[in-house]
Amino acid sequence: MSKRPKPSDGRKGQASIMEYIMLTFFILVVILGLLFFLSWWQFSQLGMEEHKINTEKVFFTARYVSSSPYFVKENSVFDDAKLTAAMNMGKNLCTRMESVFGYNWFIRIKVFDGDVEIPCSWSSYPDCNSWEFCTDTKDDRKSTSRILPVNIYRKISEQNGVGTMEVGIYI
Amino acid sequence: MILKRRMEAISERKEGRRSKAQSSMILMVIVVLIFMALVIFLLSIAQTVSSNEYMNMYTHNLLLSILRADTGSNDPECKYVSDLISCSFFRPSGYQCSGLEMTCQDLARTRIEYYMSKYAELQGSFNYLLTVTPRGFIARTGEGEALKIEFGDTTLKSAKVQKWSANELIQRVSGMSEYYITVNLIISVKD
Repeated sequence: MSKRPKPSDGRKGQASIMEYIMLTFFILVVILGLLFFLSWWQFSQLGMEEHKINTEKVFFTARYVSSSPYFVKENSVFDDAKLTAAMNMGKNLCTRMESVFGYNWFIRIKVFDGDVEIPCSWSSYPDCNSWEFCTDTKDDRKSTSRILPVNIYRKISEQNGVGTMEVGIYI
Repeated sequence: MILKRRMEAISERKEGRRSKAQSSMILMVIVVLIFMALVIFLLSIAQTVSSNEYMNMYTHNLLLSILRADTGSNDPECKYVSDLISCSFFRPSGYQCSGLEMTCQDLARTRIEYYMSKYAELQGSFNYLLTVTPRGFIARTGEGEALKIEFGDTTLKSAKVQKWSANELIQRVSGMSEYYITVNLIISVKD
């Protein structure tokens, strides 16, 4: 004689099914969360990769300029006469250096002499203390840059000054 | 008896289902924790690589720039900051730079503090420690202790903060002998 199913058996079965549905739902939420996170990570990695490439370009430019005989007396010691000559080339310098540095780079060099900042040119040399190469006059142009301590050899007084070099890339 | 066995069987089945549900919940919590740990780890390593390279380059350039800086004196023992440091080490009795009423060590301290403050204005405040130690020989003070010269925050060496360091060698020729001293600069960003 077969047993008749009780009403409580049906409720127990429903509870068991609900358990599995909740578990499956939870697993699906975790998997979807993981998928969204990995997709967001991929996109943000593209941005980070671009930032990394720009930063490496800045470091390369800094190392090259710090050792280039066009600008320095010795490694990381800039020669103020060479800097002034290079600055007077204006945009020609940017065009000539494109084969080495590429496009959209800029450099600013300043001496710590406690005075007001005076850009160097043939008329202000040697009573000047700052040089700029390939800078953009538009203030709102985005860039990434790094500042490094450097020495600047003042040819007339034959002394090494201390200052900074800012190397950057417009993005 | 049969009823008792049936009741026991029912309670065992209930226990089994409860423990299965509990173990599933624990598994889910572990998965979520692993997922969060992965997120935190990936986010934390993303930015540190390029900032470390920059800070190492900055520290090295800072040390070189300060050592090569002119002091304004024409005395060969005091022309550059590196000369002042060398003079402080090899003439601890207090050699006075000609034209300036300061000993090598005092002038070195003044110059180093001045340049560090100038760079701190630009890049934000940082703590620094510059130590001078002999390389390949032993130097002792009059009291018999190892000679070591330090400029800056002496607690920085043992401080548990992120630090960057750079080393340079200074050579000194005395008679027929060459001596080298190591100048080590440690910097850390101030909170």
